[in-house]
Amino acid sequence: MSSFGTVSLNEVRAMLDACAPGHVFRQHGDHYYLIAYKGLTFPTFPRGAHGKSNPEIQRGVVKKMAKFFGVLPCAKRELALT
Amino acid sequence: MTTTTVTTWPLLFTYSGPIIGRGFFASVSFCGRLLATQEPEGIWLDGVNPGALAVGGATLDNANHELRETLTKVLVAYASEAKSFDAFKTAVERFYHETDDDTVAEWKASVDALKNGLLSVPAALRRKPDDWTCHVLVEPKRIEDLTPHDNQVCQNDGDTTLAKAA
Repeated sequence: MSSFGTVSLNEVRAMLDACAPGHVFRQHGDHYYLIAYKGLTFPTFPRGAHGKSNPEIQRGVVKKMAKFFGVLPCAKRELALT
Repeated sequence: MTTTTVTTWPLLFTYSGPIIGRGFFASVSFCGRLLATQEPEGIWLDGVNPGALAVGGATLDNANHELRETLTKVLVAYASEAKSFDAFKTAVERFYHETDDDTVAEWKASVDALKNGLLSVPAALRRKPDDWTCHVLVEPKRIEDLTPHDNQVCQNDGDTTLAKAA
């Protein structure tokens, strides 16, 4: 599936709850969320379009983040990433 | 030898720019590593160093622009949170060095494919020497050392090249 396709932020949050229990998810500057898990930090997770409570996030970013944290197999199951 | 088309390129890039923090000026420069994948919609860039980074664009130029925008924004975010230059430096160095084993393995495989002539690459991509070393450098800057060239708009000519095969 294309890296340019999207998945909603709520779906990503649910995936992280399932695949990265105990992770930290917080705002980081004006444009990003910072996600921390098992001693690693992913500070470039986009906040998406302004004013949207559940913006769409590019699948490539989600896939990279999951791989970075070592939870890609779980994320693929939860989000149908390929 | 059969040549197959592999569309993941090992790229090196340089970035430098001034960052204003809370009570400090900093100069940040690094040579980083990326994996570039050609997809139907465009080029996707996955960070190797820094590893916590992924951007895309319709063309390599577009993706390169997104890369530099992202780097600047995340460095500004770190500067906004850092209580001192030393805290900022630590955060940026950590951001640069953190990566994952799978991505590093993909990088090495891509470099090997390049060495073995299995990569189809754009002719416009220049190659770096095989022993090119990447680094991160975060230094304090005094206001009297700043020049107009330090303005961020001047930094967008950073270099993106292909990691050369031996």
